[in-house]
Amino acid sequence: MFLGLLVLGGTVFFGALSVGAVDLSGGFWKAFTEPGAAQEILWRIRLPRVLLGGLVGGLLAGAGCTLQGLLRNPLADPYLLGVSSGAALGSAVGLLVGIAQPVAAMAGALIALGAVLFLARGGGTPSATLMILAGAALHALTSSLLTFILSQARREESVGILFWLLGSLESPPWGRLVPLLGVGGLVLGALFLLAPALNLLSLGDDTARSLGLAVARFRWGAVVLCALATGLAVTFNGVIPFVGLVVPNTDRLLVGFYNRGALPVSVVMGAMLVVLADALGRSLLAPQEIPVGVVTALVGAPFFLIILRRERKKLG
Amino acid sequence: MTLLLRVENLCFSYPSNEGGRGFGLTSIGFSLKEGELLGVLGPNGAGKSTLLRLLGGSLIPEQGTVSLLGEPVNRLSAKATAQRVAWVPQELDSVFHLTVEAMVRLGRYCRTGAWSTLGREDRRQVARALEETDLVGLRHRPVHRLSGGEKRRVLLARALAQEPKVLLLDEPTAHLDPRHQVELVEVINTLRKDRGLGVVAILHDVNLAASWCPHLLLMKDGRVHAQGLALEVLTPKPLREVYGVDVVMSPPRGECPGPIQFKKTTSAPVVPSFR
Repeated sequence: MFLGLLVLGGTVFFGALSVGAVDLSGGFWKAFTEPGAAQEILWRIRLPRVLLGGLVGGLLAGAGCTLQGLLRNPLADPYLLGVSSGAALGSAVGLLVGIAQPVAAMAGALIALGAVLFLARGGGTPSATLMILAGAALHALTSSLLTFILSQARREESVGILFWLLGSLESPPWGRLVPLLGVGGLVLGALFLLAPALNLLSLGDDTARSLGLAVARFRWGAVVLCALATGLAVTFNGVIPFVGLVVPNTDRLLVGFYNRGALPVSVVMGAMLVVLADALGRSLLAPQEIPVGVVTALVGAPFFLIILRRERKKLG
Repeated sequence: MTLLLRVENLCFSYPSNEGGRGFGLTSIGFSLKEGELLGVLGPNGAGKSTLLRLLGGSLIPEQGTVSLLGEPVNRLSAKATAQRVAWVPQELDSVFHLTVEAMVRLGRYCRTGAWSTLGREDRRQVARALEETDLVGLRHRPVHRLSGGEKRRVLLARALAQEPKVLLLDEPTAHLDPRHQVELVEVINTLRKDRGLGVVAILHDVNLAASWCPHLLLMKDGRVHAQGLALEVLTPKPLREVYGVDVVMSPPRGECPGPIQFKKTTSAPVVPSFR
């Protein structure tokens, strides 16, 4: 299983490197090693973009998986709960006011997630229905605020924000990419450490505590981490819907529900989905590009439905 | 015999809606030694579950102490508490469908490191817990496919995997058919003998308590109404006072009180008021 995942991941990785407006699949190794236009494309454009896409997908899927365990609800997802759009709003505001975008996005995500949890809590475990409703309302609110900002901003600015919002991966210079990868890696690492305790929390607060988990402290930490992960992913890449929902749920149907295995697999699968979606987006209508968010939904949704139908017995 | 659990002058109250203090427990005290079994009886809302939560450290007492093996429970970390006392809830509640073995492994959380990697000893303890609860054959089954009695055994096995000294049971036999009831009682008795576990069990069935528990705590309105040996506690007067119904008792059988029958009270009719 894990071996298969690695092979699949590798294939997606190299496939994504070789396809695009310029097809490199013929002389791939040559492009890697020998100087020339192909090497420039590979090192300056493709590789950073694929790495960034992988990180974004991993962060979103990891945050989704964590939120689902944390809130005891397989429907929890950064996008559905309005956390992504909170981050997007924060990021847009940051762009206009002049606060560093990642910071503003994380703050936006944290506020949004905090608001949803506060609205849905009412004392005990957040109720599923309340949470989804609060998330939907928040999503509508932040989206309209975002639209308002777009309508008021100067033309060039709003076009810039809009493109970023649609979720199209850019190719950042290595100088910017490396710290991003570092921070993202740290957040992912911290999420991995939460995985065993997530299983406990999914049994309910009382049981989790009786099994030895300091519930309140853990919940805070996990919420902050999820907001950080979502905020980071949104800063890089705008709002990519669906990854946080589809990937962990597919993964649980395939791998099982034990979070210690499910979380890392989710992260890898999320990374693969975004990289694959981006590769398709770049190559299908080349040289035009389809925003990666559009492709994740187009690829992810049918795949999810197929799995759901095949494995529905396990759910019942 | 080692003293496992000592409860002294335990008081607790929930915050009420009006902002003051609401329902709670008042000055409860008892102790539990290795291998002992204490049954907690009382009508609904007497505070039995609240007591169990205080014993397990998930509620903090306002006054008095709960000490586990000599240490006050509110000074222990969550993991340290879970290594000493395990709670067996009534319902197996899991949104994500784990297998029996995965569920039991979660009991090892309090004895493993940050990433919860199970070592040889951890796996041995999980296997032992599965064996003691007769779940070896079911260990790859998803828990949501099990029957009520099997689920109860999974909860027990998970608690055993914690290697606790004290076991807190919340109505262990509720909703079980007679055969499963008898089996569960037997399993718990064996555990008391083999592991020296001290057990505190909330019970609803007065007759089960009469035949099973040597020591009883009879509660009403957050207070101890009677406590001591079953023969002393299960007499008509306290039972009538606590449950508000008349009691017909058969003669005792050895050390256990005889079968107890309840009937509608004739002396002071309780008229329920619905307002």
